[in-house]
Amino acid sequence: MDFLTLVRNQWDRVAAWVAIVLGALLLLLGWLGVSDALLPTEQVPYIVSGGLGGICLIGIGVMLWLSADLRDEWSELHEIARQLGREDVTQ
Amino acid sequence: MPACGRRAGIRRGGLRPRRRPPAILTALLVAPLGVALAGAGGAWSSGSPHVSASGAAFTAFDVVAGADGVRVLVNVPSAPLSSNVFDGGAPVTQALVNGIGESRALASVPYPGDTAVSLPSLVLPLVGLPAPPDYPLMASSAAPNKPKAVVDSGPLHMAAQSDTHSSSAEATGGGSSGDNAIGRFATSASASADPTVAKVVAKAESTTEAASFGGVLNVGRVHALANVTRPATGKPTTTSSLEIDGLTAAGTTIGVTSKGFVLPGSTSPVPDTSGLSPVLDAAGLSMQYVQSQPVTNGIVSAGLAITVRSPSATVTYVLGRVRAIASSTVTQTAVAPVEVGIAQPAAGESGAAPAAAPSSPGAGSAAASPAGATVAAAPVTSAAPAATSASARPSTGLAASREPSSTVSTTSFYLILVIGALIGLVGGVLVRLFGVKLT
Repeated sequence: MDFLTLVRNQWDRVAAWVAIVLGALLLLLGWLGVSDALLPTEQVPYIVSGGLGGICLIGIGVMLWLSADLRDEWSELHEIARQLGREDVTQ
Repeated sequence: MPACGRRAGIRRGGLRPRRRPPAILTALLVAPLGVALAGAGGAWSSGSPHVSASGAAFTAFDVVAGADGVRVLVNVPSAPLSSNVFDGGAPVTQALVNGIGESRALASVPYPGDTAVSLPSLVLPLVGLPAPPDYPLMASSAAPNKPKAVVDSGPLHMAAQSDTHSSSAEATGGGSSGDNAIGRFATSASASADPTVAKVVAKAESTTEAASFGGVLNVGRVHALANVTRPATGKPTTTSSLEIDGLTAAGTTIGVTSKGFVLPGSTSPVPDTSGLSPVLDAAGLSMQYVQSQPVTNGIVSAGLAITVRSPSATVTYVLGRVRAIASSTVTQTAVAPVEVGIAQPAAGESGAAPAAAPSSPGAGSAAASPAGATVAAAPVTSAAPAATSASARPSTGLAASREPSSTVSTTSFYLILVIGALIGLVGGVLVRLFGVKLT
């Protein structure tokens, strides 16, 4: 399976990991920014952009990862049903 | 990329081809990503701390100034709940600036107190009544939403203004109540923090003229001043003064010194006139000279307390006692010379170029470079312990940082965010392993 096919078939897992990695990156950059900022008023933008943005991306990634697993389960159920002769379930 | 094993096989077999991600899902994923990245970029571009040309930058600061023309305290021993039934001032001016973004000022004549101002609008809606209008005899400002406020009501004038790094308030007027009257009062309070030189200044001033109490005691003029100036380096300047002129009781002049009152027929000052002046005692009046009081990072000026006693209540009028408090934490970034070309190690050194080391206490700039050109700056930060009293605070040269009165940092909060993200990630993996994935 080439890379593009893998991405096409596993788009949700690819998106999940991209989101998780970007979220972790945002958290790291936010931490670096907070560490360098002296005044709390200067730290707030890093918290909002880096901290909350990173958490949102990680949350989206986890959701996509779980969604991919659930989609696999449904695929297997459909395959089992098809093999049992219930073609209608795959319609 | 996680291997999907059996499930991947199903997908490859084409039994149920994976659908392409719907456009709306793609948009939902991309939109917050773009917003987050754009916001992060903006924060990085604007979030660097301001460092002045002198190399000093605020880490935190807290500046407060307050002045009352006359502070009135009413004590009724038989009152329910509390015998202190009133504590207010006329006029009252306050100014505040701090490092967490607050900058506000207030001027009010008379000021009934925070509770009396805010409680009606808080309580009345709870019982179904409409909220009352704002207290009319008050001008308050707060940056950036309300930079200026002016209230004029008859002889009373109140003004307050605030910007990002400074706030000030002033009030003038005069009035009378029963046997007590004040011909003119003027108070002002200002608080400022100058980030360009990392200097904070708090100043409070009060002037009361032609005051009369009980028809017996007259005060020509009382002027109180408190000032705290705290530069980036070196010792802060803390000053306070109290001037009392024309103090007479039943036409007899009473002398005032920094140690107290000099009553007629006496040469030694006393801090309190209770029982010592027949004229004042007969009128139920007593005076007390309240000494100036150093407080942490500031000072409260001396004042004159006049107590009027009646069978049912005791009323105390306090003139003066203005206060100024200013604290800051300053990080020094010294400009360090860097040699271009061949380094010239000093005798006795191991060959490394000398680091920036201020040669004299209080020097925030770099030591003179030996030969060569100075082309770059190396940051040097310092943190020194604070002193609680301005006069007792030693000069520590470059280590001129001060302990702030309130240290606020969001790094702890950020750690909580990171921990929350980790918990979310681990929780998602656990749900996937034990709740979703077939084994």
